[in-house]
Amino acid sequence: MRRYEAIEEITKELKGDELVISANGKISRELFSIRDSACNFYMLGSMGLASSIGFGLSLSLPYKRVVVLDGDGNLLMNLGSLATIGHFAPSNLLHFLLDNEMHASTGGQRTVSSKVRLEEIARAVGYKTVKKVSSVQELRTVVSEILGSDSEREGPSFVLAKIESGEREVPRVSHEPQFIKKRFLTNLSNFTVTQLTTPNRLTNDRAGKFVVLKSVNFHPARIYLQRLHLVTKLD
Amino acid sequence: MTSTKDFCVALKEKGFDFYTGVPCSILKGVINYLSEDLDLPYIPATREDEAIGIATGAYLAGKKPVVLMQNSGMGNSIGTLASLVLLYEIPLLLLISWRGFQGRDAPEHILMGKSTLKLLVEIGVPARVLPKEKEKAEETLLEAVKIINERSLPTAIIIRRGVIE
Repeated sequence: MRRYEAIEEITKELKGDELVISANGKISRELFSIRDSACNFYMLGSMGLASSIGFGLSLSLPYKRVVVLDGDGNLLMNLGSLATIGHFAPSNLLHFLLDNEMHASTGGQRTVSSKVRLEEIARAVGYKTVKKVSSVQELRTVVSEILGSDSEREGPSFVLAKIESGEREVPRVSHEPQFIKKRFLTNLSNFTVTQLTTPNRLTNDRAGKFVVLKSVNFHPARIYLQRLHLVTKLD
Repeated sequence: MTSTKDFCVALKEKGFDFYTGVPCSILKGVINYLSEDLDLPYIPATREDEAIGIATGAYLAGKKPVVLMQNSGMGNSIGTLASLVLLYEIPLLLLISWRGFQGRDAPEHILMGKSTLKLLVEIGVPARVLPKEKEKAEETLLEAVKIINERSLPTAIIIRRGVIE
């Protein structure tokens, strides 16, 4: 399975309102070429931080599903992020690791992921669902299981997809960084509860349009974070 | 001198509603206060650049985040400030402690202490030192909030030992 095929497979299963954070380099470029969307936040620089950005997003919007498309080079640069995510365990976070055991964007230099079992680390830090796949078919099954249902499955989920080398010529992300950000924020400020992927977390009185950017005082995330915070304190 | 409580309450009043960072003894009081606060989260990060990533995610979700760190950790974060925060114009409030101020500190803090402000200015992060006098400190916070709200830029407030107690 090549990376391009893996990203195609994942995006095929998206309902369209999931928020997607893509790691810098080829992952962002391929996502951009396969399915450009206002829900995508393409990282251009800041290597290593895709999972951290996805984590901050998922904590703050517990009723939205957040998908991180990460690479092995990226994750190895910020392994501490796994521990932080595992500790807070946001159930709406789905973390894909596209693992080709190399830094493909800089010319294929090897990483150490050929021997390091990153899925075991994810399990050890507290990801609730952990899968490892190496074929398109396996990935399809796992993705539809996790993304397809209105998920009773408990997250955070970690899916390690082993990727073969082999590159497709894809253009760079042609949007300006500030456009990527503004489009992402504007899109979020317009979404409605009917689009939510986990409506069971909302009480009935929160029906109607939910304007994220303007509703600081009535933010379900606040309640959720309070709970998380208490858990942290008890620890 | 500003009291820890007054400073934290002022942050909350200005709308800052998401806190993350890596500790420093100078920021001990503030971080402990925020960690006890049940209304708002303080997320302990493993590294300063990770904290900036988490805060960026929170900002994209409509939050108004603050990142707390030591100036040595700001050294870890220069690349992230340049290629994430400044590139996308993510308006984070950075509260950075100033170890090595005036060259009086443990040896590992001297060089970064000398370079903290210069580094921030060089990459284009507006930075100001928090004054000792309470009224002036309030003004500094207001100026920082103005930059964040009106210009959508990250802003740093540099905190010396003893200024917030």
